[in-house]
Amino acid sequence: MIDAALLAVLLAAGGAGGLALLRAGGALPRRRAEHLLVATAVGLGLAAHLTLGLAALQLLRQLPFAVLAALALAVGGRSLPDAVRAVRSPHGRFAWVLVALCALLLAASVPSWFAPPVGGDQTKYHLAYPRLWAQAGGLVPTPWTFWGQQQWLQNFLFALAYAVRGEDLARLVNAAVAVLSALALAGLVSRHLDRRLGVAAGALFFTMPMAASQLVRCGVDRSVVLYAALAASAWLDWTKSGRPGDLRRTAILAGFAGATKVMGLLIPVLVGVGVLAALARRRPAAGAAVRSALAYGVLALVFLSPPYLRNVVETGNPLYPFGHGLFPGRHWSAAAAAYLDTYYAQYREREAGEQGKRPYAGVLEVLWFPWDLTMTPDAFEKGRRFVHDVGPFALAFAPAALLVRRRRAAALGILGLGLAYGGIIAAGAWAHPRYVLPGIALVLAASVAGGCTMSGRRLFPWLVAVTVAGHLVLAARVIAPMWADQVRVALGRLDSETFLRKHSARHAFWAEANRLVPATGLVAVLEKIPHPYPIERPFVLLSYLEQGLVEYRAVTAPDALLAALRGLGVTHVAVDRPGLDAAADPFERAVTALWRATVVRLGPPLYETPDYALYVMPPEPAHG
Amino acid sequence: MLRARMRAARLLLATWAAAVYAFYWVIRLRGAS
Repeated sequence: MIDAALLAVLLAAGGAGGLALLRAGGALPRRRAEHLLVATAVGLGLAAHLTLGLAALQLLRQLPFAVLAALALAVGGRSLPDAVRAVRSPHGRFAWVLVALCALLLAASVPSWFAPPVGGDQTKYHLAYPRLWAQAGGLVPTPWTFWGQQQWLQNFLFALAYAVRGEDLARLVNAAVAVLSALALAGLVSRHLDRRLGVAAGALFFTMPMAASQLVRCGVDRSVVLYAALAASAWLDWTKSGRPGDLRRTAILAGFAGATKVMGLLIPVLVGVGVLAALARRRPAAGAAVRSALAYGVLALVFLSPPYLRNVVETGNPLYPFGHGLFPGRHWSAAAAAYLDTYYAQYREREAGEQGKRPYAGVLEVLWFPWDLTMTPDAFEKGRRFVHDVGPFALAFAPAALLVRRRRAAALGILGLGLAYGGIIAAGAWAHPRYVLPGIALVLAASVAGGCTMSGRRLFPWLVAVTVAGHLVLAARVIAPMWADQVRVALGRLDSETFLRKHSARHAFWAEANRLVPATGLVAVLEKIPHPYPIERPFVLLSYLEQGLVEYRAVTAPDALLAALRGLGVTHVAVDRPGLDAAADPFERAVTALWRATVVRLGPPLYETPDYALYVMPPEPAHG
Repeated sequence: MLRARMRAARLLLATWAAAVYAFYWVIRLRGAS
């Protein structure tokens, strides 16, 4: 209950702060009904950047956040009630049925927010580092793993939640961003394509099985969708109105989209291309065109830059550890970058191979991606069934967007933006369902208009209803595996410890290991892909994907590794046992052989499970 | 002429959409069994 109240305060303060900023910049949308959503998104973006600032100043405490919230409410709170009153509710029975179905999915995912997080990248880095910073009261010295540098706008919202209250609030923030992203997509469609289709677009997106999985697992992809949809809407506003305020709002929202993750940088770039295209068509005086382009570029840069500046300060590379060729910063090397590429190539090959496929070779093969993405999403990364399922609607009706006559330019603009995002990521980075989510969302928005044009107004609601019902059936399979136990934890009938032991081998090991390592100890983790979330003692992660603490290209003998561990002050060593046999490439084979030889020197384990073992570091042998 | 072309385009796109839905659900149902 307190968590829900704190979320309400965060959203209210965010809305108030966003309203104040947008009003000061003359960048509020012309329609008052849109003020609340845009202002809340802007406010949350500001809150994330301020959290980064507080973390850098070692002020990640409740009091500074209370002061900031009070300040935001004092400055912009007076216009908040008007913004709330101006929000328009959905029209018609069908729209309310869709809203009810979305509410059903949201209600079904509630128990998962009050049980400990299990699975996915959330325990690897999305929640692990924000929680650590909140515990430390600020950023901790890096580098020690590059995932600590892959922390973006939504991660800092998680840090805020941990600092103010704790894990449940962080999970609520994740869900709130998920809801806001669906509302933003609905708003984009309703504002620029057809007022009656907004709810359909929002519901189709919100109930997509992959989207449902993001309701129960924390990540950052929904914040990219949130800001991308709002930026696209503001850009379309500006192409029609030419108002400088609309352009400023476009830049602010595209900037926040760029702050959501490295791939999110594509949004300000693509929207920037859209701005230039609109300027070329409108042909204003040269000076005015340059001023508009500069205003967009500078504002977008300001609002995207904080997390990248942090990485520059700490490593010299804004994208650390990626883009090493472009930004050869500290604590990384060309060899480490090359091995990271090898790792990702192996990953793609293995995941596709398990489905009897192989990764795309060349741009032409990537043209199959929309089909494969829809039909066999597990070929890109295995997960629990349907966690990457995007439903059939976008693929089925995206071509029909070409039929749209009414507001054709907007429909094609949204479709083009979505296809460009998805295409560039799929061909240039990684054809992975989650990475192209903003593209899917935008294509879905255009497909809704296409589907309605093609099928007619009578048939269309049935099409949407059948699709949403299908989504919900599959989404239920995504949520189901831990649902009953999550309900028990949420109701206090099952303790978190028992829940974790049952559902996570990693937690089962660390629950005991945390007790065996003293609070003053330091545990080194020999694991390729460590998930540090359950580790409650000081730790260092010594994956061979990293090279900040131990450079396995130089440390090749057990004695040298033991000396390096002693040099770090390590008292205990935790080992991923199945990982000791990994040998997918010569480097991996060499490192795991080194690990095996080193583990033999550690003596019998202090504690072991089938997956992990904990050792005590032996005393240093006497010299001479 | 234009109307006939539009009708043909709609028919083609409707066939595509129906094929996508059919493939999608056949794959899902086969996976579930």
